[in-house]
Amino acid sequence: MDKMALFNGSLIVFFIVLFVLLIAIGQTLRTSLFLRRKLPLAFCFIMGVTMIFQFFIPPDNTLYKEIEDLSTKWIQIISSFALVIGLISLVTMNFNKITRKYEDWQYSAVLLAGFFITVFYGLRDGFEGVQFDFIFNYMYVPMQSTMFSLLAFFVASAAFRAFRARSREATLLLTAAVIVMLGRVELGSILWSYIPVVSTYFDVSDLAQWINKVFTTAGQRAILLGASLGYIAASFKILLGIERSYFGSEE
Amino acid sequence: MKAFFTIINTLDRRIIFLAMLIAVIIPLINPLALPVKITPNTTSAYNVIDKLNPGDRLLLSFDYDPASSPELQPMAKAVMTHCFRKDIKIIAVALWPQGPMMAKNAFESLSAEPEFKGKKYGVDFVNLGVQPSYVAVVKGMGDSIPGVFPTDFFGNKTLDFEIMKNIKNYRDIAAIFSLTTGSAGISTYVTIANAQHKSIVTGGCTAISSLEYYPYLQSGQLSGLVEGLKGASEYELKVGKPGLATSGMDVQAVVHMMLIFFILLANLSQAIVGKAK
Repeated sequence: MDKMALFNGSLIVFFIVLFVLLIAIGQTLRTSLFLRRKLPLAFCFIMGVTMIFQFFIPPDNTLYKEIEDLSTKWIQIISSFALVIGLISLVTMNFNKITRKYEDWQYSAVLLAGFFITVFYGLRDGFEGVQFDFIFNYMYVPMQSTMFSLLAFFVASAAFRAFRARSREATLLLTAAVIVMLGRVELGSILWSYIPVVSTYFDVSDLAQWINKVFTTAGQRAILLGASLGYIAASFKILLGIERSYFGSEE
Repeated sequence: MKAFFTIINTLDRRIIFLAMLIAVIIPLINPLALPVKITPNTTSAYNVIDKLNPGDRLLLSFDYDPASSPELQPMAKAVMTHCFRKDIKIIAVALWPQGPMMAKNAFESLSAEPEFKGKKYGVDFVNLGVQPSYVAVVKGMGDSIPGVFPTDFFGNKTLDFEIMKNIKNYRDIAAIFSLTTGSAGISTYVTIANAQHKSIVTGGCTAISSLEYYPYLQSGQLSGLVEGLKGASEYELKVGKPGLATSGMDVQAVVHMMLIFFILLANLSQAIVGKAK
């Protein structure tokens, strides 16, 4: 076993011990209202305001650098814990499905087998191992690409059934979609050139670009602004302690 | 005639699937070699890299997974080909967990070609891997890239690499090119690296998400955009090295035509027979 595998193994053991320890501490302290509610709220408020404040400090400022450095490390450490929790949750959930023989438990068995085999080779050989490479390149890549590629078939079937000119709005949508689809491929431009009169004035790819640049971008910008305003409002609710769902079901 | 359209109106979806399968396979067996018209967005992205000087560093962010690799992997290879030919050094990072493997595959595939035999890992290209929490990563790189990525994807110390000499943060990077498929990627670099650090940001994305970035293009925060398989084929044409994207465009052309045909057929049958049950 090389140094890297030993290091990775020790790290996993460390995280598991730490996780169990944290649960134990959490269970002991859960009766305290201050620790359970007020302290997390104060943490959330201070960290949130600091992060907002940071956007208004020039990047050259020492204070900015301090906050930047500290916050980046903290966020990464917390995210790593979230990853560990996610992995534990995935394993326990699927393990329960197998032991209790829930419907389609066989899929969970395949998932866990795939998970442990990949983790084993990943920890043993690192990312340069032949077996890990094989799993990634000849199993994971083709499976994911296939899932995504199947979209084309479902889109075709859905378009055939749903893309009907039933109203003025639907007709407009249909026309725009056909123009954009034609404009995205050269075969479309070739076919468009056979349409008399219109093709002499407009190139279909330019027309498609125009639809995208003007109408779609306007819509996208509206969505972006609306979503951002909503995001700001939701953030304020969390910072001020109005929205507390992140505390869990007990709140 | 009405009987024919009645059948069309209730067409089994498996027939549509079969037609699509044929539309995909035929151009792969018999390439149509259709011409490719280069769009201004691809030209702008190409020009960002073309204007860099030999020895400049490009931060190439692999922000996708294998699901998007048919569109983005050829794009990554075309961009890397362009950089290697101009002797631009590539610092690969990832905001998606599967990104470093995509970067590894792209470099291994290119460095095996006779043209790039001399390109060395650590000198011309480095794969810094992925770190959790993409916003923190992009923000953190504004302060220190080796600070966020102390080791590369394979566990070697980042600062030991020749390519990382004198590289601290975005100021030492000539441009950022993000290959994006989801929320982590172009938007993150535009809102942090460009808005806060004035870095030049360009990128490529899957066709389905390209319109999300048009507002950034119009505001000038994003300098060019390579859009989907078509954009990748355009980039391949620009670097004079047709590859998977160019051959894939024949398939896409036929599939688009097939889709349009089905939509028109469905509407025609509805007009003649009436609303489908």
